[in-house]
Amino acid sequence: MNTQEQDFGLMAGGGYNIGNFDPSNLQQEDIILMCIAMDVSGSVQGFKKELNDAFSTFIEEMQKSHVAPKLMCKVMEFGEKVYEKTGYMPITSIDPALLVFDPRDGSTCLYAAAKKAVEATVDYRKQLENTGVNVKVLIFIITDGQDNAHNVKPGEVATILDAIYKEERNVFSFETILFGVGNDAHTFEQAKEDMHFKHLAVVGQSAKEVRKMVGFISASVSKSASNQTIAF
Amino acid sequence: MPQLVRVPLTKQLLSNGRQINFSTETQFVGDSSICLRVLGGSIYGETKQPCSPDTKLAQMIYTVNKRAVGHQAHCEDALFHTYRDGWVIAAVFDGCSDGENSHFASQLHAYSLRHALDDNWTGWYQLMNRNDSSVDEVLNSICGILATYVLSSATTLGLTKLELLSTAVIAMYHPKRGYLITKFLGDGAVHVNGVTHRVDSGVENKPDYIAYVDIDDLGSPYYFNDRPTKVFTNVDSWSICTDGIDAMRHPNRPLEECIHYLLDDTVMYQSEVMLGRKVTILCREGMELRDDLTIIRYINAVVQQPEGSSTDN
Repeated sequence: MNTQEQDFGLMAGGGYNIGNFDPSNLQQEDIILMCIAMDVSGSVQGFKKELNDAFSTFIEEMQKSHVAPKLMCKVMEFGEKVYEKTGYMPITSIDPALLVFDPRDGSTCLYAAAKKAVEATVDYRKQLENTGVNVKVLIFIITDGQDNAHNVKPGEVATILDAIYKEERNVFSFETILFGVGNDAHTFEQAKEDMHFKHLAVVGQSAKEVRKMVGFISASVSKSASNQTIAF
Repeated sequence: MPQLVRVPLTKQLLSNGRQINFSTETQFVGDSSICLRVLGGSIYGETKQPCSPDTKLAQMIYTVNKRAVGHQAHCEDALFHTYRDGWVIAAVFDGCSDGENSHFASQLHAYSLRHALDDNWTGWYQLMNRNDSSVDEVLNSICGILATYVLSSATTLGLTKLELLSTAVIAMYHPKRGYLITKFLGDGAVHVNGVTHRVDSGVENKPDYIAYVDIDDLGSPYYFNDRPTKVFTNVDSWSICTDGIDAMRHPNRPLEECIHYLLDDTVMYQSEVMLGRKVTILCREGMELRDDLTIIRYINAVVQQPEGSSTDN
């Protein structure tokens, strides 16, 4: 742990080379972990501006919301590889500028991103729970196409999630949501089924549709905070 | 009244001599569950711990208020704490389970104490400034005014005695003098220097509730003189608790170990919800709260100021 990390209450992540917020510095007994994994393959270029505008607004709104003290966010990107932009940090510490997604890669490692998002979240949740914090989890994976990296099988994600869902305490406190952006609803449905994600929402690529997707995410956070069931 | 300031804490030297690294920057204001107040001025020579001019006295208050497993809807305990003119005034209240809407009764007591202090503190403070031995007298007076306000509210709202049943443990503490005085109107406990001092209601478990006081008797300032009072000197850290502290049942840890973990151990002390998280950890280990649990824990510590910071605001 370097000095910089200490100054900002960061700690080395569980093998993810990215700093998570030090659990002992948390000032809340109940926390919502929100992981956002964004597809940055080249095909996203077409609605890049809409996406960045919507997420920048989303972060700013969440920072002002009543949920903000409880909300911690982790941002990831995936294309040929999975890139972690932040560890789990209080939403109030997230710089909206970090959420500038820049589509660049040629392929989409959707399943690898889902697996890493779930593993990183479970790892940090365990750390929080060991220090007496109650945790709810929301994992959002946003993609516009099917996995074509083939480095992780969807069954690997499904196996991890099945083990999580088996625990009664996770029934309403561990939500996995796949957003499919575009018209390929069948592909998205298949990915959701193969990975055993709980929810799927398919939206278009227009600015209005992207804002609608961000609205879903915002509503999910609010529902989670007030112990309501998430539905799409 | 010392001004509350934002202080990047780098290191804390607890009064027992232990040093703990502090790597957070925390802002504490008002009656949040942890308060850090940096006192300016001439406190250095008065602290028991030798400290250099770049250190200040920090007061940290942690609270927890948890519902018992058997209480379906409400935690029937309440709490209140405040900081006025160098004094910490804190109180925990335990609504009687045999009463009606006891969660309301205990909260009514808490609000009434706040109201009593708002209305009368200046006079009490002046009295204590004139005569150091009058602290006990002031605490009796606080109890009397509290009782008056509770009973007056009951009259206004048309409440019955059954709807007013709550104990009260009230503490007054002067950090610079290390002086702690506690008054028990019913059962509860005060924990000082690793020792828990309990007051119980006897084998019949009939606490002497404020609700049973005749309002006409409250004219005497000595009315509460005979209630259990405990005085401690040279105190740096203390806790007051409802009797729920003795109703914790852990499958693997003896009660005293659980109490020590909550009231003496300083792990996670940089989190303002330290006590709540510790209770959650114990409950995850299988501990049951057989009664509502409310604790106010106070740590009086010396904080080393980072270079270049100014706190004499």
